[in-house]
Amino acid sequence: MGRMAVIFAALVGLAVLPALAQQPASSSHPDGTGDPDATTCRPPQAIPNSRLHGPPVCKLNSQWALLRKNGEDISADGRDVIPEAKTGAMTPMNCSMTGGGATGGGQMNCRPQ
Amino acid sequence: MALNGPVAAQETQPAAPQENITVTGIKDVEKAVADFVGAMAVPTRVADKLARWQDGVCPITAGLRPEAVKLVTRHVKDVAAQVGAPVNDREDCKPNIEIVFTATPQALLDTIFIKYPYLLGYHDNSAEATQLAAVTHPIQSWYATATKDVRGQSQLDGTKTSGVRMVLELPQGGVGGPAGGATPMFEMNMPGARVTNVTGGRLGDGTSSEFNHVVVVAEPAKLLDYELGTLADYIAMLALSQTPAPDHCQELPTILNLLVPGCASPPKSLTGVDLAYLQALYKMTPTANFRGQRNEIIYQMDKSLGAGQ
Repeated sequence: MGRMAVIFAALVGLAVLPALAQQPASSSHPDGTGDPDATTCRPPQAIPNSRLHGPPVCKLNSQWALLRKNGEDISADGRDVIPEAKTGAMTPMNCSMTGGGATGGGQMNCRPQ
Repeated sequence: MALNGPVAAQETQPAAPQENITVTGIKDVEKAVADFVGAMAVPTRVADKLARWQDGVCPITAGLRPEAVKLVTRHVKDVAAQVGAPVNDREDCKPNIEIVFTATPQALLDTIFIKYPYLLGYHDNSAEATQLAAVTHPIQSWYATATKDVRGQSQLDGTKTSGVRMVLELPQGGVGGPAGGATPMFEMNMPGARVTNVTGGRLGDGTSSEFNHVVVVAEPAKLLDYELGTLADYIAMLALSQTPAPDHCQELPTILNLLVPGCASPPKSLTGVDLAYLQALYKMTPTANFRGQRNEIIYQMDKSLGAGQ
């Protein structure tokens, strides 16, 4: 009976372990790091000009990595490959000075590239 | 008929079917045919068979002027009909051969890798997919294949399956079984497994490989020296057979020598050898094993090319 229990445990383990291993990770900005064959899901994002949210987008890390390498992303509706939105403090800006003169300061106008 | 004479490049109607063709300038045609088939015939990884179209081909071309698009699309269909491949001639057919002329082929393949990785063909993991998605030739093709089992059920090769659930019934009592009560059952789930119905025969298991989708990508900037008719012939060859991108010259005259650097005066249209290969591919027994299929093709080609006479 002991041997049966071992076999049973092994079979149950075989059945359960892959299921556990396949739980996809979740990240709001998957960068493709980690196991290239593991799946990472991005939670639903708001679709621009709409009150609706798109679906969760699940891709292999290797696919996220290629997207990031190419400066791309998946659209909020999950359908298209789009240029990656540049956000945050490190976003490069085009800046120019307007107004001002020899003695007075002008005004700096910056907009994202 | 000599095979090494180029046909007019703009000629888009394939040559009439040739039953007997003479290969000139090659000492051992039988060996050359065997070498050619050895280089051309690549079995699928799931069924280990040669893939060919079983559904009617429906090509679509993009990236060229409308008249050129029409010409390439029509030409692939014409060659298919000539070699015995099924053709879907409906205007609204669902495209299963996509021919794309693009200045940025790698970007296109990157998108395929991200959105439709199954189009790259069978791969076990991301490393293989990455390798498959690399553009290495001015015209390159990718094959999504499927395996059709003995009951006619077709399953795409390499995609995730719903798995297989097996229930094992253990014997009552005796060695390894419990003493009494209900028959013990053990359930086993195999997530990546697939069910394929086979005959169990030694010469053929009843399964066959078929194309599900073929993508051909061409980079026009690297093909400026070639006529569109020549390129359409080359593309037809890739679209109708799972052809590895050739890296060295074949001894037999074949259009596949066209883009291999250093091949002396490569043919500018499909040759009798190319047509004999395609005809043999579409004549062979789809369910035979790979070795049998290869031998059938060699036999048919030898017959067409008059080898050993």
